[in-house]
Amino acid sequence: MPDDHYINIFVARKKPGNVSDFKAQHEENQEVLEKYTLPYSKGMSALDALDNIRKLYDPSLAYPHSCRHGKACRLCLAEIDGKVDYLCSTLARDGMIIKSIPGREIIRDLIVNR
Amino acid sequence: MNIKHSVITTDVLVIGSGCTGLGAALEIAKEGLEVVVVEKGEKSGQCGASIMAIQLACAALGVWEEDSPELHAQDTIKWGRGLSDPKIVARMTERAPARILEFEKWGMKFATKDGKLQQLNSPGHTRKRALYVDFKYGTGRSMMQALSNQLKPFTNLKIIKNTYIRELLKSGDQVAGAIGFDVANGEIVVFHAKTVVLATGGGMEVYGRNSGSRHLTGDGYRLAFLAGAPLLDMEFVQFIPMGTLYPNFPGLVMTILEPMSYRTGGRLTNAQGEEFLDRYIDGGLKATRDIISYAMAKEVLEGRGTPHGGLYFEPGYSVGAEGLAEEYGQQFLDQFKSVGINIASAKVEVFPIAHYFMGGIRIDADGRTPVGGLLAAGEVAAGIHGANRLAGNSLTDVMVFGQVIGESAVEDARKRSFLPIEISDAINKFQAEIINRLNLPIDPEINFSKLRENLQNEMLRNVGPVRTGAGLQETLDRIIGLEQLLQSIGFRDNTLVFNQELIDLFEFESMISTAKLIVQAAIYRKESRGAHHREDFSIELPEWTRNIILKYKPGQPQAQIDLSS
Repeated sequence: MPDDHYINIFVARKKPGNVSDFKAQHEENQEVLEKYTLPYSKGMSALDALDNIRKLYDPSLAYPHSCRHGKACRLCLAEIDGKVDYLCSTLARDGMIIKSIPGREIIRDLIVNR
Repeated sequence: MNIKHSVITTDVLVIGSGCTGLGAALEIAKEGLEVVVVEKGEKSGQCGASIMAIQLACAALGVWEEDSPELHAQDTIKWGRGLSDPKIVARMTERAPARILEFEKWGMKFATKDGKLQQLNSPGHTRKRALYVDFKYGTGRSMMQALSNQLKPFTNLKIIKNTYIRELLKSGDQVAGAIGFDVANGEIVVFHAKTVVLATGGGMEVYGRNSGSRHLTGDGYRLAFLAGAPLLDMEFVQFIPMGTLYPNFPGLVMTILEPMSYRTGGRLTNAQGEEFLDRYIDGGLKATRDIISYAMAKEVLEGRGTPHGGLYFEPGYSVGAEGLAEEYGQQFLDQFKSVGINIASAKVEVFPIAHYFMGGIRIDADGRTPVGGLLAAGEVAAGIHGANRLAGNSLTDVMVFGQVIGESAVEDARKRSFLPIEISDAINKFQAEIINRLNLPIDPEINFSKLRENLQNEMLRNVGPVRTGAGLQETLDRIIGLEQLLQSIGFRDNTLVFNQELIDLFEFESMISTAKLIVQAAIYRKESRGAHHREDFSIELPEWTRNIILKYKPGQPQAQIDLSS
């Protein structure tokens, strides 16, 4: 793919509810899949894509990350196209769907209780 | 609106959970004192620079040739260009051999050869004293696992995550606690302690391309500075030469090619195919990082850079796939294969990236700062590396000084009492600050993410390996502009749990403070020395063999500057 293309990335968003009551939060406040259109560059990771969403569209997007490119911190786990993997080591692609890791309470967006 | 708050009382508060912080906590816990480690990331021990280390730790073990702590100290001071504190250096080099063996005993997997610990040559060290861990384990990961395992038995040690410390609390002129924000619960937390240990690491996140984590925003420099602790050598920021530029290697640290430069004969050329380093220095890629980084930056500035603004590096130039596999393991090659690169035959674009802060808080050889109740060590402190750090001396620093500072904290906490602090005043002030921010209007064109990038680009442009007085001044003015802009930016979101904009605000305040200190010192130092290279004062001057000391002056926008004698 040439460097000057745009890609669409879908991210599961969720606002925090009353943190002491996750059950109520789940009922009141459902996950929403948001679509973001981003400039693509070769070698761009899923984590780079989320960083760009924050810069270009919504600075409140929350996702676990620290070291950014080393799989060193082992924080940036998410469900990427149905498979749990690190955001920093997964190449971004058009139509990619990023959700929080399944089976955990969602605190906010891609951040889960762990 | 009222923000929830809690108060935690402990003998010792340790801020930061890298190798220094956890190393200190271990010593304190062993002595039976209550210790709380507070970490701003989501996992302790995993959000700073320690875990990311892929390279060396140096100690005069003398496995393969005669060596001594004195020689190790001599090399360190020589390449620190005379700015290191000999007493602090001696503490590190004397303790390093035993401390390395202790980490090995705890399970750190140092590489061996013929049944003995392997020790390599590394730039600037006159003896084979660099130990490493194979790529398949990871130096930092292995070190932090070994240390974390030691902490498990202690119930008097508590780790608090997701909590951003915003201010050290004082009782008169003594530090007696800290206030912060727990972003996971949306709560203010006050810590009341007899002794506070700062182990927050460096601030390379102020630079656009850096080898650290996003959490390394210089928080400790700001905290200590505002608490009245002097900082020194802030103008010296180490750039690591072979930072990957193009293509991007997703999932691999940006320093991954560095060992190929001096260990296995990689080749560095400019866009014209010339091995240009010979024009700048003897010894080529075996020279120290400050000199190579300068030469690379200069080459690009003079128009001989690659399409993406770097230089070409061929990691397998001398040894090929077999040689790389032999030295670094097959898994090393496979990591690149998994992202579509044959690294043995690749010609990649590289450019120096911000890697390490030599300067920081003034400490003595026991890790005590001039401010009572406040200790500091590791990258946030100054004194060991001077104007340029040698490869392998940072891990040694954090392994040794975690222990040193832990011992000092025990001694101090036993002598000191809980000094009175104005807890409700601190909470009210911090709460008002947050609520005020939540009520500010939103400017759709500006957000903290963009401002952060502005600052990072500005620092890269004028405060990297090549500097000029005019460029530094221009950047200082822009930083002050960003600082003013920062006051008026509202949040899109007014909830408090994992409010990313609130986190960004906290970090950006630290980054602005840190960047200002670096630039202010860099403007003041009118010579070139180590990692600080001024085009308008391009030689090292003997009268500048002194530290620039920065002190906070309440009400003043810039630090007061003193010089060491």
